[in-house]
Amino acid sequence: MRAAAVAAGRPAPGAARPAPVRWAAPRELRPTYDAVIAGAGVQGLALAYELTKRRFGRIAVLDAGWPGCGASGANGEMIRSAFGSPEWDRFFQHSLCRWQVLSAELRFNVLFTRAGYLILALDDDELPDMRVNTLRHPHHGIRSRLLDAERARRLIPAAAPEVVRGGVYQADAGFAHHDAVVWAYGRAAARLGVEVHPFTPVSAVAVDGGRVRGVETGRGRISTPVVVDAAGAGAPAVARLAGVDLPLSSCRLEMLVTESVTPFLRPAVSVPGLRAYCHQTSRGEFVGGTELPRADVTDRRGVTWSMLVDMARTFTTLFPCLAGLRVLRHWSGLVSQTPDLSPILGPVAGIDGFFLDCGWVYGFMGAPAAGDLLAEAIASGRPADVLKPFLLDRFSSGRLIREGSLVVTAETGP
Amino acid sequence: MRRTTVICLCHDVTEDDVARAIAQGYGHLETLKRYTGAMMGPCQGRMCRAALTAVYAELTGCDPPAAEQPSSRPPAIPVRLGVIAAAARDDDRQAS
Amino acid sequence: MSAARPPDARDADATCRPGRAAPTLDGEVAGFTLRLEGRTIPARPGDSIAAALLAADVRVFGRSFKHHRPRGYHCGRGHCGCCAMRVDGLPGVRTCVTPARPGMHVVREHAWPSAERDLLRVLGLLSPLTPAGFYYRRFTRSAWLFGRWERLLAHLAGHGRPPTPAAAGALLAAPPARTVTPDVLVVGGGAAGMSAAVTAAAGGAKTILLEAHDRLGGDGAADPPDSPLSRLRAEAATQPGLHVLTRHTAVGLWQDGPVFVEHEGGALLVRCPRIVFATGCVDDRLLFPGCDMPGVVLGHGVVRLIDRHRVPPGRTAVVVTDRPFGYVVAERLRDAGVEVRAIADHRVHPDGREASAGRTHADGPGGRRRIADPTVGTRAPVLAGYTVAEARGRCEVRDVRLLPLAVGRARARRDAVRIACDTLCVALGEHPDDSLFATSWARSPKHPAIVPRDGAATCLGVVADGVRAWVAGGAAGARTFAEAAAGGREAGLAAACADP
Repeated sequence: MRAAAVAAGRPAPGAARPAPVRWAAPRELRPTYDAVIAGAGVQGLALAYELTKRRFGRIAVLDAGWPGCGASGANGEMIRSAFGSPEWDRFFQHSLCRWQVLSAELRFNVLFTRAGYLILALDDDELPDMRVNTLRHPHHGIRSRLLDAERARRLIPAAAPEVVRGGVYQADAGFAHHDAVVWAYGRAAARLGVEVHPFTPVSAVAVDGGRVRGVETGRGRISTPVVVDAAGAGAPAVARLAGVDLPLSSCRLEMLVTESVTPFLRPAVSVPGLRAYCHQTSRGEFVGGTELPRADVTDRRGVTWSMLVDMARTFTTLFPCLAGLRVLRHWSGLVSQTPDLSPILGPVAGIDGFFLDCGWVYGFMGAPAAGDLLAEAIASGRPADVLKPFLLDRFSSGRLIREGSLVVTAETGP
Repeated sequence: MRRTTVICLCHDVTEDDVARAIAQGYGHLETLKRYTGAMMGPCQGRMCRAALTAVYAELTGCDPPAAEQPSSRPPAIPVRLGVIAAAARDDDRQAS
Repeated sequence: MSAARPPDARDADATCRPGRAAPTLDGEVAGFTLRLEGRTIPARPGDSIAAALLAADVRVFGRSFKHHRPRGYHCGRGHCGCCAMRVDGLPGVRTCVTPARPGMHVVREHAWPSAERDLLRVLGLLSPLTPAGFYYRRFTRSAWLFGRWERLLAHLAGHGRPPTPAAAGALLAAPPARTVTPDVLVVGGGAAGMSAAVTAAAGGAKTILLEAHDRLGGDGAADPPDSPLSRLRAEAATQPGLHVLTRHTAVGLWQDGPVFVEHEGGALLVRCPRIVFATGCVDDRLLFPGCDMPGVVLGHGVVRLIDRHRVPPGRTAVVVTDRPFGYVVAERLRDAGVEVRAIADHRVHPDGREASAGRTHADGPGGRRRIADPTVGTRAPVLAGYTVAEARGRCEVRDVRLLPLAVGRARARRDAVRIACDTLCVALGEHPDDSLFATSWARSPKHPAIVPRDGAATCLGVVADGVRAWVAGGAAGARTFAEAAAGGREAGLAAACADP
């Protein structure tokens, strides 16, 4: 392989394996922590950082794999706050404000690119709802504009003109780099004393007398008064360990990336009418995904030909020049989604000290707000108003959130 | 010299880049790949996975276990979106 | 450079071409032309675009993505992407495996003003300031500055322009794929693939054999009809129940079962319960400063260029190797009129007679040739125990520096050898090409690396819904023709007899 390697022979066996990242280096698990977070993805690490920023005490983040190996390392990277419901508007605007200062605060560039974000209308029927949304947005500090067909076509000239009927455009939104965000939060948290333990799955959650006592892992038992379930696709299983049944379905989303070409698409584009989302990265690659009308309810992580066909047809319909671009890779990720596609955040009634940070389908863009608000809720004992619509009790009280401008389908039935 | 020894031809990832990344703590092939961009170009690691593994083994002193090799995903050979769209033109959108 | 006739050539116009189209039997120039940017390039039927360009002395095929380093013909098998150019409005066309057609318009992108004189090479000179990942540590404090920087980066990035509407439209107008449902699919038409396909069909299975290139038999040259390879090829052509599809490339296997096959005349979707992967190998590279320059060519790339296209990779060459295959490459080069100036052999005691310690083609095509004496036939000095330390040149290789392996610094300077040449052939080992079947979901604790690599056929088990697979040949680690053929037979038998 390499001349010097050939000369030197194989390395000495038994050398200690480096950790996947320096801030998740192997170390002893302590017997007690002030908080244990299950899941070292973007949600768990953002929360750990925010908690430790508030001097909450000693925090451990545990993950069955390596940090960011789940949906955090496989998502579409898009960020916006112009949504279709006041709950999502407020929450994600809080997140967008955090995104804007994240690189400076974490001292690591998460590559948040303010390329703009267009929610595209394929049909004139979609425009009235979009108008209502844009009228509501300024109330929550969101700067969005309703574009007519002509203006939208000028914004994305590579799109086929006949599919562009208008849309909602948010100029200060865009996309970031998914791995960079995980690394940024992880490094910052570790710098402040958080311990990240990869390859350490939670095997039991001890609940006694209506309060959390600790967790068990393959490497030992931890006693802690606070346990947070931020385990992404694994969240239902962790919750069940604590005796909580969550209304979550494990769904698979598939995406693709093409070869790199010179810029032809500036804003991130989301097309609710086709359940499609895409953007062109700073490296020139086109990245996007679609979903069929019925969600792919599974816990398998392979990729299917039928989804590739759907993505190819959808993207070549939207952007005809894409027909000539080569697909380099087609991957999938798992999300645990709720019936109303909104995350489940905050405490669980009846189990003191057990908190939820799961059920995300737009978890990447929501992580900065979720970390901040949940940390505040855990530290002060009071969830903020912005957080309250997302509590678990909304399912029993019937106060589901109606968010209509998503590209994910809630249809999970047969 | 390490700056002109190119490991990943697609993204110009040199031996110097890999050494720096390992020094900064990206210690698994998967995180190394994501940080440097190696194996993420059009060849998807066909030309550089073996080289990256060898340099990694040399610099860290240990062989990465087989289970931790970055995985393959289709297409094994890049294929144009138009070829797929045309190929499946007669299928229903609601494929099984 | 004189144009020498390869000794075992079958066609009359088998002369290698130092830059002009060769005459046919009738003495007329049977060629057509391509356009490369402003130039007219002669080509012959059967040429790949890359071969036609090399024959016209075009050696710089493009510039690299980040540092704008010159790149040229490298692997010759469509793996490395160094030969990718814009052809008729489509970016990223792998010219080494794409047949040349009359009137093609070829453009080398990502360089300005030209691939040979690229001013953006200055980005490469700035490389000490821009190591991989440097952008994570820059512009963290000023969002505005980062925004400007990101726009600049986006315009510098991109390895080609987007496809033209006409080219994209032509792809969308192709006919829909045919679905075929054989009992057994064999991917790869080398020794193992042919054996597996013949055995499976003989065992009663309706079998399809896919081969990406225009003929079965791997990278062998025209070989005599009595060689084992030719016999196998003849069997494959006449075996009842076996359908051989050449120029059909298996693009991928998806979890819901289908194998998508690309073919110029129309794609195929293969849905079948049993697959034998005989996908062969990828050449190993050697890492040294300058290992990516035009002129550095991998062993099988050289063999393919000379055998299939009758084009030499250059005029003067150095071969670096550690096995008999390197001497096969050297002999091919010499037969093609290339002056082989040295063979750097990693082994301290090179012995060309070690026919078993090498790859299938170390035996020569059809398994019949043996190299008796490493220097006879090449007449090049063999530097035993030497390797390449550096390849130097501005736009292509100008000279290489060879060093003894495993030496201290002081000795290194004394024993270094500098040889002027324009081609460096790296003929080291190979590793299995597992990209089709080593998918994330096909892995299991039993097969974490997918294949044990001991040469025998391996059962992979279930690799997709309703699909069981086997691996044989070079992709399973086979090292000789005999091993590959035996592994293929075993896999073919298992596939034919397996329960549906």
